[in-house]
Amino acid sequence: MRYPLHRATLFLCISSLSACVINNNKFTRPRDLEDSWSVTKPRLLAVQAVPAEPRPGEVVSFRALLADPNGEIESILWIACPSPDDGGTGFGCIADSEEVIGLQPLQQPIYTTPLDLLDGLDERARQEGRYVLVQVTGLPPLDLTEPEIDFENIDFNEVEAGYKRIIISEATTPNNNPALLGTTADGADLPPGSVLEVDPGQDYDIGVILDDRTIEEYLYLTREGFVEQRTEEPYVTWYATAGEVAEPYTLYPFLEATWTAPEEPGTEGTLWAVARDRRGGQDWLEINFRVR
Amino acid sequence: MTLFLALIPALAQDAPAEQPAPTADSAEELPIIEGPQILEYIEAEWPPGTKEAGEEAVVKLLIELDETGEVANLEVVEAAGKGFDEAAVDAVLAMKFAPARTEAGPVSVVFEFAYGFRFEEEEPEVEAPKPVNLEGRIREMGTRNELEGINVVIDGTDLLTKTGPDGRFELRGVPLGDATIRLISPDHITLEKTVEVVEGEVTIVDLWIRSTSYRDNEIVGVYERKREEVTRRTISMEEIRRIPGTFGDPIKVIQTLPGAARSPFGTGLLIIRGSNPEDSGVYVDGVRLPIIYHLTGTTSVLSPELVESVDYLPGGYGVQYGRSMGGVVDVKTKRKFSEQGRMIWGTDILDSQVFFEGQLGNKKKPDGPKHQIAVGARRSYIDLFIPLFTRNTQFQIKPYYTDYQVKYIAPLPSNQHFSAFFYGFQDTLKVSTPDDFAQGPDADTQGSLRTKYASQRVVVNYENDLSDKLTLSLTPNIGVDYSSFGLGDEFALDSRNVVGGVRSELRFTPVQGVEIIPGIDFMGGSWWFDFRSAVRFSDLDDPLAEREPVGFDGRGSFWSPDAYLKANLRPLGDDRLLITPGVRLQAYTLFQGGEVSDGQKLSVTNFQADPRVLARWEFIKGNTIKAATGFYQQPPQPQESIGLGRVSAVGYERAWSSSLGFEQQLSPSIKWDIDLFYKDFDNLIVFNEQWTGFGTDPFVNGGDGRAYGMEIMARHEPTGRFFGWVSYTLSRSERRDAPDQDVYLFDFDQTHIFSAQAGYDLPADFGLSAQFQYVTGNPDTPFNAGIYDADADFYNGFSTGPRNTTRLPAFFQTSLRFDKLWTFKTWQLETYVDLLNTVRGVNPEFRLYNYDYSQSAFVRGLPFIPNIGLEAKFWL
Repeated sequence: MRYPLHRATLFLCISSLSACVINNNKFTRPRDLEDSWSVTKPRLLAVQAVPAEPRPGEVVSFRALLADPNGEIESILWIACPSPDDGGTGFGCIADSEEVIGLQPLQQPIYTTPLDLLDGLDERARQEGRYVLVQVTGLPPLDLTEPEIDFENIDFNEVEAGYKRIIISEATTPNNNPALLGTTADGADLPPGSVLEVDPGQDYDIGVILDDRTIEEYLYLTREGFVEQRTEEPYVTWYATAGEVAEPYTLYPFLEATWTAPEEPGTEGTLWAVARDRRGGQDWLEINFRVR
Repeated sequence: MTLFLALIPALAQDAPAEQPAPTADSAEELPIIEGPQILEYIEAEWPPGTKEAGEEAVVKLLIELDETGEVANLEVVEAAGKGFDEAAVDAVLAMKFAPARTEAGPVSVVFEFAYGFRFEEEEPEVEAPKPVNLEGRIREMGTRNELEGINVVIDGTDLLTKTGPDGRFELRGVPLGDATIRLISPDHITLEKTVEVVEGEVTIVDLWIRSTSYRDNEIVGVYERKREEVTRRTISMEEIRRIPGTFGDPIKVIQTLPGAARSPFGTGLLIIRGSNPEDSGVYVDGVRLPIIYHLTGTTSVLSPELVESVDYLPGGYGVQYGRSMGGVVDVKTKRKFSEQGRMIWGTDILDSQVFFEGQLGNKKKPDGPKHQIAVGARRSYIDLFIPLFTRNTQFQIKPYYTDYQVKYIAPLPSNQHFSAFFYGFQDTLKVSTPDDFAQGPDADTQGSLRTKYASQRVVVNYENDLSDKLTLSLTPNIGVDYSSFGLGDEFALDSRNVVGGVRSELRFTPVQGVEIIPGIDFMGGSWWFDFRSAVRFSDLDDPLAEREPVGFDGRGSFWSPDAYLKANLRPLGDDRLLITPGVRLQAYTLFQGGEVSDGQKLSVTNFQADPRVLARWEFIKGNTIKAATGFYQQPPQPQESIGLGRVSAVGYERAWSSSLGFEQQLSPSIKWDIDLFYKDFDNLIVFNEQWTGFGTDPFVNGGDGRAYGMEIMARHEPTGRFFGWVSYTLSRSERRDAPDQDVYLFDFDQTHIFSAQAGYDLPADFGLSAQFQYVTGNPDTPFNAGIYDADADFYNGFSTGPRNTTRLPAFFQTSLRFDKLWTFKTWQLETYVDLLNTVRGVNPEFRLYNYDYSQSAFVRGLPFIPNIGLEAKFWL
């Protein structure tokens, strides 16, 4: 009996070549994607409305946390428009905006809620309220001296856009924004406006002090007509321009996140903590740091 | 009909020819009852100079014998050279044979035939017989089979004999003193054993010899049954076990055949001819299974040792299969277990399994009736290894699966068959995180993720050849399915189904060439589910919505009494021309109640008819044209057919499918075929854009689509030492969710699907096999940008382009398998290394975006995986 060993030998040679492990790195790996806590470009991190839950005909003021570590944003455009009934945002307020309510730094955003917004709704629906969308767009340098700005021709890849829902209602217990009273580092209070000096590569527990009085109890009318007393369950989102944040989110009562300082001495940057009460209310604080 | 036979004993030129031995009964209803017979044996002319030089030789031939006993094809598979091959071929061509026979009559067969050139022994001088002083028994290592026809020679003498049916031999007048026994057989390694022969005593020996290749013993038969379907591809278990990258699973091999798209992450989804995974049906002995793979996607839920064959029907199948628009995978379990009991234990990096099969009878009546039984079980142990890598954290991932089977076959007359088969499986996955780790900002999505699926079935099969014109088959079955999903304390979905059914078929042959087949395929059962969620579906888009937990249960029953009628028409009286018209009447009735129906008792009934016609024509021997066309309709999936507070209006989905193809048998072991197909879909079930919650249907029959393409396959049957096949599919599959919307590529559309696999038996029971795959990347919809939602605290990605207008990079993979079989007296040990993805290609499976959709990265598929395993077989 003859065995075609030459065939098997050739096969083995080819197999050996094929068995070489080739590490192909031509595609970006998921671990190389930028994390949500990382702020290296203009980013809209939060929007606050005061009051958080206005009544029809009430005047609302706004402020936005638009982090801009490289100074690319020169103005912020505010537009208000109706919201889809399902609470979604669709494509936001685009092109045919109903109302420009602000253009910072020239005009601070102010909005008067429509007086007739809740007309025709029943008691429960009036207490539940309706949404108005407010779109916030950070714009690169524009020639603001022109009488009209051609918004339709702005390249939106160079802008940072986001939106916020304003609940306009006749709730008996309307929402208020949470209040952050201060910040801490490794348990120690940080004086307002101070710069946190950190060591390269060291871990720090960065925290916020939340005014417990702003964790509201409120009444909710269920779909079945029962009134329930509920308590807010806020959470904090953490951001940093450098270093590494271990927990992007912490849920109340956990109000600290572990942050690792950058390795490079002399690095300066900012940390932000944004508190949300899940009912539309928001507040934030920032911590400036410098690596020794 | 053409049948392959196993290797037969060598024929010595100097002895009357022995008849080719038929195989054991096939799993099909037409076993061979009489093998081919040699009517006139022709002695070959010795090649010039070889006889004078005392050269002996054995030439192995592969012979195809047609129904008349004529040699239709002849191939030398092991040449001896020096002119012996040509002489053997000439002699065989001049021989006269009687064809093999089944109960239906003569059939064509393919068998191996060894033609020996040996010198005649000299006639011994007549003298008084000497006493027997050496006797013994010869058995085969590993199988322990008693071997008949082994040549027993005493060196230095002219003493020669052969073993009898019981493996025994006896020799007279063996010279006293040391005697060297030599055992010679073309299928076994020659053994020499020296024994002492003492005057006045009978020396008794018990010898073991080793087969030259045990792999041949595992090929009971590779055959083609009555071809009623246009395109049916059947792969033997020996091939299946040796394809690398499939972990020896018979159903995973489907993905190397034409028409089957590659499934993501090797999960084993059956994506056949552009259809959704849920559109294809998987059957085990005629009973449909809800899922066929364990949660890892690497192994199916059945032990491979129980599987006899896996039929893959990508399309053009008859009316006996229904409730699906895609393809069919029909798994047949063994209908006969090993006469010699055997036990198998196998283990690799994923799981460990045990298996036993055997026949039980009365030892005092060795030829009496025997009960046959097989038992198998498997358990994964990935959940034991993963904690080794996560012991420093509180993160835990515990995937775990198990399956078990018991099958019994009763001893009945040869015209009847009865079996009872119980099997089940369970898959569990639990993922848990530390208590202080926030799984996102949503308080309602914290906690462990757990999922569990379990299923059991009992299938009884009875068949009776009532007469030569009438055959009855009856397959009642019953089973239960259970599934559970939960996330933390806020989300849970539990469901349970009790499913039963009956399959029955009559085959009636009123006249030759006409076979009428009425059948029923009845399914029914009850279902129950319970759903709890912290958020209503209508609030999913609103991050500020006050959440009210929602929960409802549902219960009901379903009944689907399908019936079909088909005919197999053979106008030429044989399988050269086969036309199969048929019609399947499909119906289902769904009863539902409970909270999902808002307290009402609701019912809905739908029925449809599927006419189909198939045809095959072997216009020239070995060359066949095939065609099929017909309707294939599919009822809604359970979650699609349940109305929320109302009767669901969702009905059957439909496909009109046609195919045209050609097959050619180039030689007894090589064939190729090509198929063109076209499928038109309508009434496809899509999400209802107008769904507003309870009281409206979340799904509607609003979609349509099409799929078309070409499939080519060339295959070398597993005869001799080599097997392999190459398959290529060129196809396109499209969908549209509504008549006024754009057409888009099917989510799993893969333009080019190429797969090549081959295996070769090396000497000393080594084996080597390889696989290469190239597949076009799946369609992808790129996101261009994201807009920040300040209330939800995430970016909504949006695409300004149509759906599925780009593709992921192509898939490329090479896998290798090395195996070695050790054979001992009573057991065998096979060890193997299965190297999956030896060339570490990137092979992206899907695109992952960063938080604002400004960056993307590919999530890669399976890395290089070395699967090391071993399997021990014990013969009892």
